[in-house]
Amino acid sequence: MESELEIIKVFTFTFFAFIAMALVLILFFYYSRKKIVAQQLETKNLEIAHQKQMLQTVIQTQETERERIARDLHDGISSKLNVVSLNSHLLKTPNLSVAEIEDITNNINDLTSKALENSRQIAHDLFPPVFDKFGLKAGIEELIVEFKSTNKFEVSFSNELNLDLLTKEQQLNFFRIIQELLNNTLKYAQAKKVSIKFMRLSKFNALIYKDDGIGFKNSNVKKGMGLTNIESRVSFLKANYLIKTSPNNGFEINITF
Amino acid sequence: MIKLVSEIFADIGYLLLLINCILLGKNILKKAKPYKVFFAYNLTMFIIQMTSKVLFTLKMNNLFLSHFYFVFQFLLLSYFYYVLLEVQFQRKIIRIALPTTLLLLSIHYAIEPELFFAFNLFEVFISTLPIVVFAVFHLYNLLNKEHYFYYTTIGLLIYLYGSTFLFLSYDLIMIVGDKQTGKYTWFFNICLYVVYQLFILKDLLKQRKNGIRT
Repeated sequence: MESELEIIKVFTFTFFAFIAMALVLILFFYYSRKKIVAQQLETKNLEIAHQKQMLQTVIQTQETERERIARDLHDGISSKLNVVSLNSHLLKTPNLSVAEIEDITNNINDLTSKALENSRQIAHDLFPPVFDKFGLKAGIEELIVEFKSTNKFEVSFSNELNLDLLTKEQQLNFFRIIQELLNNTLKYAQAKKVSIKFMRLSKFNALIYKDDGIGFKNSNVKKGMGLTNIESRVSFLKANYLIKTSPNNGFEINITF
Repeated sequence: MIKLVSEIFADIGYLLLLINCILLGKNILKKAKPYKVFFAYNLTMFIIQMTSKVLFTLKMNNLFLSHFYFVFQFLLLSYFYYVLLEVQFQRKIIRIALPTTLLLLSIHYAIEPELFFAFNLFEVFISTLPIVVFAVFHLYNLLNKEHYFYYTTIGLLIYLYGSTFLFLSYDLIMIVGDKQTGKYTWFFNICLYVVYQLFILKDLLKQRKNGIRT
């Protein structure tokens, strides 16, 4: 009888002990789930915020680009055509001497050819014809020639890939990325040497861009429009990128695709 | 047969505990506080187990050592998680649970002092449950963080759940069955202990590889 009572006592105790311990685990799972869901939500929100920011940058870039084109058109073409129109009106003035007519026509000629040259330049800046006709490699080579002519830095370019396999759109994105990178180097880096490489890695293709300029602090860099543009282009390419830079140690970006 | 296997396993467990103590003790002064507390815990456990083994070999009653085992395990592991946890709410729970448990245990022994020389179910349970809760707190905190004393905590939880079950069922078995049956409980407990020590060892080796936080 006593042993039976003892069994019941021990049994009850064991039972409640286990319920208590199981409860701890159940609560743990319940709260963990909650925490994980909250975490996922936060990550998603961050992602959305990031995308919004990228979109904003794209729009902003578009606006600045429009402004620049408007200014170029205004300064390079409209103003010249204005003078041309003025001059052609002058030609209507009666009793002009031959020398005066000659002078005015020369002026008109001069201005129209300048306006023509400017419009060609604007079109070229917007979309390089070489790129259009001969593809990415030729486009990059031309770009390099242009940047070399600033006499600020040396540029070396090597390519192990068949870039023609890329779609036109991908080629354009790469072209713009390189253009932006070269622009950044020119504006901020004070670099002496720049190297651009397209190479085949074991599993991926890679674009490696390096300069030996002043670099910047990567950890707390507030992305300017240039970098955000590059980032959005990289994401269009469905590629990944990695930036290696620190003050006085140059700048390197690896884009794998 | 089961006795021999148990003893071999027990010796493996002691050996692993010793290895863990040595690994933890190396450069202990330079290590972060959780390591120091955990080292103190392992060392205390090692001393208690060795004493128990000696008393057993001398055929003396070593059952009273189990109280030291449980109480010290409770105190040191509570402090270990107190150092480890960073959330104020969780630390507050430890601050409340620690004295409450000690108070309950004191009252219990004041009422039934003869339990000191027997195996005490209430003590096993009340000194284990808070540790389980603290360990679960730690796992919860680690959900979105780098693993820190992760395997130790997992091993501890497995060991505590398993051993609590064994200790609690031991009484039942002793009432119903005979001494031979009780040996199985002992064997399973030893196995669990070896698993627990292996988990700690894994953690220590991992931290050694990755560089220990100081």
